[in-house]
Amino acid sequence: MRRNTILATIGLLIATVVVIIGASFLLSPKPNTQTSMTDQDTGENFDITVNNIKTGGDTPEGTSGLRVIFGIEKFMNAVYKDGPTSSDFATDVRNAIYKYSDIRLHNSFTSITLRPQNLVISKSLITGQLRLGQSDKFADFSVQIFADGKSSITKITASGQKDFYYIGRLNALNTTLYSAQQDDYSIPSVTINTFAYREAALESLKDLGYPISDLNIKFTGYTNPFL
Amino acid sequence: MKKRIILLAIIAFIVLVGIFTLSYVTSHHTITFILKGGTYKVKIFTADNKQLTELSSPSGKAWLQKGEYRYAVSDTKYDTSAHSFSIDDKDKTITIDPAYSAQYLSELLTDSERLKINALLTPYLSKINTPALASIDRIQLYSHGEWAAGMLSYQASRRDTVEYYRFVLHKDDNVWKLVVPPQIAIYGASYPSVPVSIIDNLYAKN
Repeated sequence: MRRNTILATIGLLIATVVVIIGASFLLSPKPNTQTSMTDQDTGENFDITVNNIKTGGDTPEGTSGLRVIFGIEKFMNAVYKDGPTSSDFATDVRNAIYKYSDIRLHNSFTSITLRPQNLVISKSLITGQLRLGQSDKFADFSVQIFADGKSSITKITASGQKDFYYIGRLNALNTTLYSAQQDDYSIPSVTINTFAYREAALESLKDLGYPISDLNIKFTGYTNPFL
Repeated sequence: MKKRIILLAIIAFIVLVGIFTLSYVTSHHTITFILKGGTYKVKIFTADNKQLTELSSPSGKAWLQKGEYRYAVSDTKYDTSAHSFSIDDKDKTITIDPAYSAQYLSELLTDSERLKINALLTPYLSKINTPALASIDRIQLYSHGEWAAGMLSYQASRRDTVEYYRFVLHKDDNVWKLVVPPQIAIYGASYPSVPVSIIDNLYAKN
C-alpha cells in the first residue's frame, strides 16, 4: 500500500512536469520564420549582426552540400571570372565595412583584416570573419555577389544599419547603350555614361538590386534642363 | 505515514503549480499601444497570424509573452498592411501612427490640390525648350497626405526617348513646397527629410 502511494506520488509529479512542459511549449508564441544569423564579437562594446540576406545573381538555389570553404585566391577564381586579384577584393570589403559599419568599430580598431580560412561561399552569399586590428577579436561579415554575366556586384549588410549596397566591379556593366562605373568603392557613388539612355541605365541598376535612392548617380556630359 | 505521503504529494503539486504559474506570469509583459492619428482599431496577431486581441484608439494594452508578433490596422481609411514587433523581457510601449490607405490618399488628391502642385512646377517647365513635350504625371499623396511626389515626363525632341524627372513636395501649414526639384536620379542622402519609401516608389514599375 505504502509502495503504491509512493509510486502514485512520483507518477503525479512526473505527469505534472509533463503537463507544465507541454503547456509552456503550446503557449509559447511561435518564432518568426524569417531566419537570420546573429554573431557577436568577443567582448568589446559593439556587435556586428550579419543578416540573412536574399541570395541573387545567376547562381541556382543550392543546398548545404554546396557550401565550400575556400581561400581568398580560389574564391576569387571561382566567383570573378574576370580575375581581379584577391587583394582587390579584400580592400573593397574592408573599405566598405569601414564606411558603413558601426562607428564604434572605427573607434575601436584602426585596421581590420579578412581571415581567408573562414571565408564561406554558399551560392552567391559569402560569409567570413574579420580580424579587428591586431587583437584576437573577430567579427563576422557577409558579402553577396550578384553575377549576371555582365557584372559582379557585392552587397554587404552590417549590424544595426540600413542595408547598403556596395558595388564592386561595376565597370563591367557595359552595354552598347550605356555604362556605369563606381570610381570610389568605399562610397555609393556611380557615374553613368550614356548618350540618351539614362532611364534604361537606371533600370539596369534596379534590376541588379540597387534602389536608386541609395546611389549618388552622376551622368557624364549631361545637364538637367529643368534646373 | 500514509497521510504524510499524501500531504507531501499535495505540497509538491502545489509547488509545481506555483512554479508554473510564476513562470507563466513572469514570461508575459504589459504592452501599451498608443494609436495616434485618428479613430481606428488595431488587431494583434501571433507571428503565424492567429489573432490575439483587438485594440481601439487612442490607446490599449495587451498582455503578451516574449516572442514575435504582428499588428495591423483594421480600418480602410488607413494602410492595413501588417507590421512585425517583438517582445523581450520587459514591458513595452508601441506607438502606431498608420499612413492613410492609397484609396483614401487618392480621394484627398482633389483637382484643387493638383492645381496647387502644378503651379509649383510651372516655373520649371518654362526653362525647357520644348514644354509641349513635357507633362506632369503620376502625382500621388503619401503618408497622411502631407507628402506628394510625381514626375515630369520629358522629351528633348520627338526623336528622343522619354525621360522622367521625379519631384517631391511637402505641405507645411497647408502650403505645398517643392522639396526635391525635378531630377532623373534622386539620391536619398541628399534629402534626409524625405522618406526613402517615397523616392523608391518613384522608381517602381507601373
